[in-house]
Amino acid sequence: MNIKNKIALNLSLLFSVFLGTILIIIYLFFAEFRKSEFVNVLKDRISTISNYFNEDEAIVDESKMINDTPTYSIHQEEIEVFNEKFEPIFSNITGKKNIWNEGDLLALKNTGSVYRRDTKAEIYGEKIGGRYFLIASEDFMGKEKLKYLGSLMLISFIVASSLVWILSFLFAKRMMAPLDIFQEKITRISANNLTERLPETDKKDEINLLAKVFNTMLGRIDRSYSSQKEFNASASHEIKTPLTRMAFQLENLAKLENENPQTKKYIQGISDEVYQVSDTVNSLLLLSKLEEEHLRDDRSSVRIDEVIFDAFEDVKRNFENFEINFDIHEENDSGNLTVKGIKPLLEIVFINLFKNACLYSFKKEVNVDISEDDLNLTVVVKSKGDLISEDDSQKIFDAFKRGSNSQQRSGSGLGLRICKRILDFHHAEISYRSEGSELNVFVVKFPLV
Amino acid sequence: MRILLLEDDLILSAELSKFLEDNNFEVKRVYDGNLFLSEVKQNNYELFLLDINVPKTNGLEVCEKIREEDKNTPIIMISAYGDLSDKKDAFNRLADDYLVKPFQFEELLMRMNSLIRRRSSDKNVSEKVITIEDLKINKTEQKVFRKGKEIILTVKEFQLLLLLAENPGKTFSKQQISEMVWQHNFNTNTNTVEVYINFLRKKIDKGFDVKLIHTRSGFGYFLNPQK
Repeated sequence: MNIKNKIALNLSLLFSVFLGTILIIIYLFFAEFRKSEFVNVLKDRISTISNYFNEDEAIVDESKMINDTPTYSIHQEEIEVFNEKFEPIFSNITGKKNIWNEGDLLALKNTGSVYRRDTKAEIYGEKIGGRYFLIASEDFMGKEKLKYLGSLMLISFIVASSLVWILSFLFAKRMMAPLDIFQEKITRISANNLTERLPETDKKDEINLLAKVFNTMLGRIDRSYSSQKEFNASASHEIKTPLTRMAFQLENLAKLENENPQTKKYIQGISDEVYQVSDTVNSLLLLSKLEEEHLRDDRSSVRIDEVIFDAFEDVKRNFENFEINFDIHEENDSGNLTVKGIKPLLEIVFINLFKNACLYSFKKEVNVDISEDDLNLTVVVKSKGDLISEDDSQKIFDAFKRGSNSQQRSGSGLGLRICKRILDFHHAEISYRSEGSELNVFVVKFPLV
Repeated sequence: MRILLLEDDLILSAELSKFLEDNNFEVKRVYDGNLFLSEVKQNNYELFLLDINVPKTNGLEVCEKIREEDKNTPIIMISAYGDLSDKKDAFNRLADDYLVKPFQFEELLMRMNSLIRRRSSDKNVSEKVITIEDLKINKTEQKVFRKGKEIILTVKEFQLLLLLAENPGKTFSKQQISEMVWQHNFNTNTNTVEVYINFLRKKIDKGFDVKLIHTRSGFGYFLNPQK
């Protein structure tokens, strides 16, 4: 649950419990008040009735007694009067059972008064002048009032609670709205989008302060990232210009006729090193570029066979006798050897794999098998050469790691690292295994869904 | 053959032109973009070599300005910037090729020769468009249409179609196709040829009444209109 909802929920819950408790207490007090008021009415009635009895236990005037009702009307009252021996001397109950029981009479005898609530009626009894008066009646009006109050309170509770629930959710939403904007903006911020800023206001609340601090931090990151990018680009340019000068001069030097073979060999060696340094610079630059988000937008449908043909042509420029044995296995008729990606980057993957095959295999020859099923497009690149040891094979996709079979051969140790990073970028996998005693196998697997 | 070279680094410019002159090119060297553009107006050149990072007008802008008037003369960009976006910029401005420094002279030479050859062959192509039934193959633009609708082919698919279409009715064995389309050093087995014929059929024949690509079982494949 997010903070917004948590705040709203806690606030509303607290209010509902608080309001509910207060209403229940008021209701209980009112119920108690109604009871004591009704008991007083019954008491008054008994006191009135008692006046109509003379010492001979005879009623002075029965009709007057029954009609002498108090201002507070008593509904269907049932009256019974007993003498000291608990013999009934008066009752207005006809044809039905008394509503009071032995227990009531006993309590009346012992304590001089009794009050009890039946399912419907309330019973009150009192001893006045040696006689026991019992009266039972239902407090219709009081009960109605209580019921009315209860409904009123319930409705007020529901209305007030709903209002508070809605308002607190709206309030929390409004309070937290800047955070939602922050979240959306921060999601958009990436290496390419460091100029994005969070909205700031003049308010002095915590959220606004947070936005200010965040923007300041972003500004610093932006500045350092830009200068790093600038440095990368200009450093590589500045490194490559003198390298190019050296390479061009060495090439022209090698062509001078009067040089002896030994000198030419040295020149060739130096020239190779120059290209090696240049390759490394390119590779490092490429690795840093792969971080950039905007590359994702450049993806299109790429025919993997074309990538392999172009990579082959590229490698063949440097390794004239490079040979490739190419095969395609289609699991079904719907395959079209197409993956989503950036062609020049995918080319680099296969250029690196082919170059490795040329450098580290016995013959400048690779076997390339493409197979496609519903889920994957798999390219297997096999070449014969010294095997990569078990230990090395764990590390060959790390930066600057070179297998023991690469000793005596120049290389940056970045080629396979770059392959891995480019394939990661394409959500594809690369793995290595050896087959038999001299077959190095690289498997590149592109997901098709 | 006259070449105009834009390169502000004196050593690079000198070494490069020395190599090109050794290979019988006539090289004129300029060191900034403005000078280059005024030189283009005054004299005729068969190829332009442009560095990108040069004073005044940079190589990319120079390329764009040349292309406003001259669509044909090959332009090769030579730059230390090897980024995908840099290359994209150059090709968007209609450069023909892009070489990242440092490069080997031989590679530059191969690319220059290939561009010059292509330009001259463009002028000599006698039959630019092959038409078989409702299939049209434009050889210069490397585009294929059937019933007026363009069919997108990969380079190898196009070469395979061209091989069959240039010799309608002639049967090519899988071995021949493999050798002629993929050339030396690229060994495809017969299964691969089948796969490509299959791809081609899906793109060229699928959905059309008249099938063009046919199998002569035991021999190979040929292209001919047939109901």
